[in-house]
Amino acid sequence: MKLKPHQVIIRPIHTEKSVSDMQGNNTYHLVVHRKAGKDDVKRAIETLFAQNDVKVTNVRTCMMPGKPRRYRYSASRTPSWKKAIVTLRRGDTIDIGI
Amino acid sequence: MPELREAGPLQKVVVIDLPGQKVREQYETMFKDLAGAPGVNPDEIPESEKEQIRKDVRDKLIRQMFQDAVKESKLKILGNPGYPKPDGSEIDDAAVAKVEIPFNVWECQLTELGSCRRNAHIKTPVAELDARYKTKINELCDGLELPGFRRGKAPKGLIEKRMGKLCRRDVKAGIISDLFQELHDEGGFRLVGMPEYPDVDKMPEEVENIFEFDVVFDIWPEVEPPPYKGLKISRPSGEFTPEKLDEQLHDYLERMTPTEEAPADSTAEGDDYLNCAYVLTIDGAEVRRKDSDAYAFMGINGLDGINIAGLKEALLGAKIGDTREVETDFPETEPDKALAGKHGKFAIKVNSIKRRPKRELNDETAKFFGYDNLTAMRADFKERFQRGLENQIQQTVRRQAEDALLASAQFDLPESLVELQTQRNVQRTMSQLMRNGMPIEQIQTRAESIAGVSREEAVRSFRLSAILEKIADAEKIFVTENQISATIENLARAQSVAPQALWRHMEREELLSALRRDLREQAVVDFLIEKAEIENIDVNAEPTGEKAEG
Repeated sequence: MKLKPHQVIIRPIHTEKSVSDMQGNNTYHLVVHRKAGKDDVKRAIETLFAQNDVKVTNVRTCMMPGKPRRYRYSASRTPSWKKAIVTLRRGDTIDIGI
Repeated sequence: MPELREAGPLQKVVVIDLPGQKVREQYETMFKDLAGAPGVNPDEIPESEKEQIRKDVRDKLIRQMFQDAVKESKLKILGNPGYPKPDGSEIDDAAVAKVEIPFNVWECQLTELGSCRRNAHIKTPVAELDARYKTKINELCDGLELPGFRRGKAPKGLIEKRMGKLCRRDVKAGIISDLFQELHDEGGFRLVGMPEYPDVDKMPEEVENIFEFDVVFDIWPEVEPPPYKGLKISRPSGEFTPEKLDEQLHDYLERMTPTEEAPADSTAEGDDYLNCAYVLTIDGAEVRRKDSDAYAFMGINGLDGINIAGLKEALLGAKIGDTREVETDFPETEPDKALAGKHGKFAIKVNSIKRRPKRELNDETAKFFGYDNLTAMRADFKERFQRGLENQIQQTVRRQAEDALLASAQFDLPESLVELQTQRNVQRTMSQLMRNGMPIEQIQTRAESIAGVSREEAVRSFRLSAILEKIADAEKIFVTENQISATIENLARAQSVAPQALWRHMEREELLSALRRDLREQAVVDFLIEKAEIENIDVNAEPTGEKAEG
């Protein structure tokens, strides 16, 4: 399945860890499509932020398992999702709302 | 001499000369105070302490010189001036330091929109908005706990993105209310009701770095008290004559004597009460039936709560067991929808007749009402009626004094205030009518006239209040705490509650100021009556103030 760039990137992750990674290592944490691979993420970032002329130097991905939830007597799980940790070339930046 | 110059739209800078000599003098004084303290060796005072003294001295002098400079210019300062960071360096007696202090100002232009309505056009620099916004965001950064972040660790950009608009809105609303409050505190007008603040969400973008807005508000009218001494008042006076007393007593007996069962062969007459059974038919179909305990009040043409024109004539002369018929047209406003606007026919059977026995004024009647004899009854009733008469006369005199004042003073009232009070009066009257059992449909048909009367009442009461207040100020009439305590004690006794409890309740409900105002107004009216030219008119007035009860 060929994913379009705007389908790959779902939203940025705003946490203390991601902010510190962004400021210290120029690395951005994103929620991405669960079927997207590292190449898809790299291409999506470089396409979506082409006007900034950004270059992705490294992409790490991992599946984040859903958490168990319980409502009365029925047990369920929240959906699992994919996280991508994208490192940009030194000096490149993208606006993720921080 | 301090120099004042423009630094932007509604932004100024004061440049003051800080002479080293002056700093030295202040420093020496403070240093002596410190060195002279018991247990302090002047040679052992550390350099850091001396530096702190120099900082304090310079800071104090700068602030003082700034205040003096601005006081002369009469500018309205907004927010905190940008005082420089305190300098603790060595003092050069010969040098004169130039210190620049930037500050923001605000301007206000008042326009008359009517005799009691004003528009305040206020201008402030956007820089002040930005400064307040920055402070607010910083406060949020320190205290906010966002998901994914510990308290105070969320980045400023994220907070601004999520809450920036809301903060900006809050800052604008805050600055609007703060500046209007400042304008109000400056005095010059007496605010009435709530000012109409602009809608922050619909405000246009700031242009040329100036944030401007309008606040419309009502003010209490400027009242010139009319000539209030020597008002011409006619005072009805009159003793309760024996004939008048007898007339009132007969009226009382007619109203208060209990009804009795009439003999079996008697016929219905006058204002009798009949216990009836009835059948109501409309177009030949029976719609209502009652076999007993339907009371017909012949005096008011009422049967079982239904008003029937011609009921009295139909039942006159009827004996127990007789059946009479009467037809009526129900009005469109009849609460029972099944009857409204229809023509009905009542067949009424008389089950029993009750009437009030005629009582003569004698000792037996007096004993029936709990008195020893007729003389005691007369004495008691004379006192009651006399009290009622005096109350009525007092009310008449007060009303005349108030009317005389109102007639000679013409001024407008704030429309918003009158409107608010009119609405309250309408609601109170309507709920009173509903409690008295009037159907809602009938109340609604009278809504217009109720509103008219309520408005007149509101206008009268506000105009009177305004005049009486001015007179009270002019004559220095005030209400003492003792008078308030005494009034509350009387009220508490009448309501059978503890005075302290009533006091607390009134304090909680903020009724004390209203009571104080009422008492002050009463005192002013008493003063007016005291100073009035009173003409006594001998009139035998009807005592309506206090109806005698058995």
